[in-house]
Amino acid sequence: MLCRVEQLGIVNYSDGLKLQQARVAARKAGSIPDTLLLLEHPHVYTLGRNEPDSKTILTNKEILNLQEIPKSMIVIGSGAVGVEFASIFHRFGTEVTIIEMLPRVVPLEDEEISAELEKAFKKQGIKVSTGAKVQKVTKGAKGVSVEFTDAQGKTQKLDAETCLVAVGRDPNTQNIGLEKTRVKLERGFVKVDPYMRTDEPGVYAIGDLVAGSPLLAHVGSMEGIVAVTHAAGKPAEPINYHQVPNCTYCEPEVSSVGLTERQARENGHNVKVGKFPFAGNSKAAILGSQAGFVKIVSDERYGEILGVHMIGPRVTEMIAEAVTVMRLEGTVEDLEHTIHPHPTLTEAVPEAAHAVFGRAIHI
Amino acid sequence: MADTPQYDVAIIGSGPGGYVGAIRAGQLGLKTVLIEKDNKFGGTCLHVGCIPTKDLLLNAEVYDYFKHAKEFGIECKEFRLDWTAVQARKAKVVTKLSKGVEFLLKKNKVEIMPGYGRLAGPGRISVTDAKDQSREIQAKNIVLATGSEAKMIPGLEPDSKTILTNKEILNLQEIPKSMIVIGSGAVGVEFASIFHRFGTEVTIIEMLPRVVPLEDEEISAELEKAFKKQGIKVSTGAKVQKVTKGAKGVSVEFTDAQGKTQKLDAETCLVAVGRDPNTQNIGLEKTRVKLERGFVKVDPYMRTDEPGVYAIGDLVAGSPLLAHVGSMEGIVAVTHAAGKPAEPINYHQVPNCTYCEPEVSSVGLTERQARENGHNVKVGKFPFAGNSKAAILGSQAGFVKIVSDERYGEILGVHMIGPRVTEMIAEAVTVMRLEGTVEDLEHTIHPHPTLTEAVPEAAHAVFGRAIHI
Repeated sequence: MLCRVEQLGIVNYSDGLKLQQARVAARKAGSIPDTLLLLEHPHVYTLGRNEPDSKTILTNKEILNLQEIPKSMIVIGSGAVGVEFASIFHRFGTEVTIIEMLPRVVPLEDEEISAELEKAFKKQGIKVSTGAKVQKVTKGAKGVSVEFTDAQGKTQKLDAETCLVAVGRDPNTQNIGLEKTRVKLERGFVKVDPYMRTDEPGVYAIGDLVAGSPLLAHVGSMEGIVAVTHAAGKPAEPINYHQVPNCTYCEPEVSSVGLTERQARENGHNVKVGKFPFAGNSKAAILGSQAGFVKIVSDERYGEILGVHMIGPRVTEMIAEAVTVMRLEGTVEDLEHTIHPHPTLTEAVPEAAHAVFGRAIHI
Repeated sequence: MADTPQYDVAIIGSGPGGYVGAIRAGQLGLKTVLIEKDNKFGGTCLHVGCIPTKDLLLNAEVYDYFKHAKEFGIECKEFRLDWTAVQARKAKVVTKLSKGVEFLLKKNKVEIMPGYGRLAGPGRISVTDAKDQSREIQAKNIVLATGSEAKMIPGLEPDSKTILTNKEILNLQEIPKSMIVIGSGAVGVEFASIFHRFGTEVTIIEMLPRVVPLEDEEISAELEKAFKKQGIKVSTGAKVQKVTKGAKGVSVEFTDAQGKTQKLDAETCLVAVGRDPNTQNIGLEKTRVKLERGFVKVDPYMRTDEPGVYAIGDLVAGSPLLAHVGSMEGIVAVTHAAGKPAEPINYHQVPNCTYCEPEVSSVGLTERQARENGHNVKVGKFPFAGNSKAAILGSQAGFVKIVSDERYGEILGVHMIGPRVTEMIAEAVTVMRLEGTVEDLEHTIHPHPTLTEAVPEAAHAVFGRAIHI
C-alpha cells in the first residue's frame, strides 16, 4: 500500500523501494528532516503546507538543539527515543504527553515491562495515550496541534509547544551507489549474511543499514568488528542476535535480552518465570528507588535462560551479566548459586532466579 | 522433665547469615527457630555495617553533586548538610529493612525467640532472656551465626566520641572536624570516604605497605592516588605505637614507613583493624567444635566437628567477613540439614566490594597471586578514561583489570576500581563460575553507553586489541 502526501514530514510506506523514491522526491521538494521516519502501518501525517522547523516539529536532532525548555511537548512514538526524551523534558519541567500507536509503550519489550513503565510515567505525571493513531499534525503560530484517534476510537486533539516525532528510523541507503550493484534490500534495509556481506562481492554493510539488525550502537560496533575481521581473512564470530542487550535510559531504566515471556511461549517453550521486585532489594531501599523488578524467562526442562527483563534503578548496568549467562549457557540454578555482593542492585538477579522455583528470599 | 520445644533447626543470630538461613529453612519446610539477643533483626550488616554505611556513602555522593551543581547547569546558591536529617534517613532505611526481615521470618513460619543462645549439650540450646530467665530448647540441627565484633587496640576502649569502632562512629552526634582512621580495609576506607566528603579532615594510618591490602596491588595504588587527590591523607607502612585520649580528642603516635616516629592529633579516631568472631560464651567449650586462630573450623557443608552443629558467617575459619557469603553459607547449612543436595561454596569465586569513592570490586586471584600460583599470566587493563558512560558521568578515574591464564584464556581474577563498579562485578563472578574465557567476554555484546563496556574492552586488552584506548 502506498500513500503519498504533498508536503512530507512523515510518510509511511510498506514498499521499501518506493520509499526510497518518495524520499528522493521529498528531498527535492526541499522540506524534509534529515532523518526520515518510517512507519510500518498505513498512516499518513500531514503537516499542511508548513515546513518542519527547529522549534515545533522535531526529531532527535532538532530536539537536542532546543534553545529553551519547552513548556509542553507531544511525543509521537514510545520506543527508546520517545520515552527517553519524554523522561528528560518532563524532569526539566515540560508538560509531556506520549502518543503511541501500539497498545503499549516500549512495545518491543516484555509486556510486564511496558505496564510497569507506563505505571511509573503516569505516577510521575507524564501523560500516556496508547492505541492512539495520529491523524493530523498541524503547525500553528504557538506550536503544534495533534489530532488522533484514541484507543476507544474517539477523536482527540492536543495542543503543545513542540512535537517530537520518534516513530522509527530509515536506513541511509539512497544515493550511495547501490543501484548498479547486487546489493539487495529487504524493506529498505540491506540484506547481509552472518559475516555482514551483501550480495555484492567485496561489499559489507553494518549497523543501522542492516536488515533484521536492531538499531543499536553496540550492535553496529560488533558488526563492524565482524566485517573487518572477515575482510582480513581471519576467523570472525557471527553475532547471535538473540543475545543482544537492549537498553532504555529513561527513569526508571529498562534493559533486556532474549525472548519476552510471550515470545518464549509462542516459540513452544515450557516457560517458567521468576520475578523479583526491587522493593525487596536493600540497595534499592538505600537509593530510595524501589519501583521495578528483574524478570527471568526460562525453559523448565533444563533451566535454560531464554530472556531477562529489567526495569528499575541502574538496570542498564545490570543486563550485561544476563547476556554473559546466556552466551555461556548458564542455567537458572547457576544464577541461584552465583554469589552476588551485598548490598547491590545486582542481588535482584539471583533472587529472580530463586523466584523461578518459588524460593526467593527477600519477598 | 518439662516439655522442651523441639525444632528441626535452631539458628543463633539473625544477621545476614542467620536470617537468610532461617528463611530458606522455613521454605524447605523445616521447623525453625531463630534466636536473637538484640531486640532487632539483621545483625551487624543491617544495623552497624553494610546498610548504614552504604546509606551514608549515598548521602555523601548526593552532597557531592550539590557541590558540583553548577557543572550541571543547576544554580545552587546556598546549601548545607543537616547531620540530624542525614542520621534520620539512615535510621529510617535501617528500620524499614529490619522490619522487612521480621516480616519475611514470620512469612516463612520461622519462630523468633528473643534471648541469648548458648549450646547446652548435644541438640540443646539454652536461651536466656532479658530478665535473665533461661529456658532450654532442643533442635536436631543447630546453626551458629553469632557473627563478629570490631577488634580493639589493646589498652583502648571505645567510647561514644573519641575512640570509635564501626558502631560508635555511626552514632556520632556531629560531624567531627578531624579523624584518624587506623586500618585501611573496607571499613576504614569507607568511613574515611564518608567523613572526608562531609568535611572532616581525614588521615588513614595503615600498617601494611598499601591500602586495601587484600586487593590487587594496582587497585591499592589507584585508590591511594585517588584519596590523595581528594585530600585524604594516607600513611602506609605505619605502625601505631600509642593512642592517647585527651580533653580535645585523641593523639596517635606511630612509626612511619621510614621508621620515623610521628604524632597526629585529631578529634576522633576510628579503629578498623579487623574483626573478632563471637565464639566465646556460646557453649563451645563442652563440644567438639574446633577453632582455627579463633574462628570455627567447618567442612564444605558448614558442619563443625560437633555432630549436628553448623557454623556460618563471620564465625567461620577461612571465610571472608562478607554478608553475602554469610547468607550463602546459611543456605548451604540449612539445605544440608534438610537432607537435600547442597552446593558447597567456591571461595575463589566470591566477590569483594568496597563502596568508598571511587568504588572497588574484585573476584578471584590478584595478578601477584596468579603468578605465585604458577599460572602463565596475561593481564588486560582498560581505563574508564576510555569509556563513554564514565565520560558522561564525569567520573573517569579507575580501570577494569582481567587476570587470565594464557593457555585457554581462563579468567583467574577480575579487579575493578571506578564509578559504580560494585554493580559490575557480578558479571565477572558469573563468567568465572561458567568457565567463560577472555574470548567469550570479547564476544559478548555489552550495551552502549554503559560502564560495563569496560569489561569486554579489558578482555580485548588481554590480546592488545582494546578499541577505545
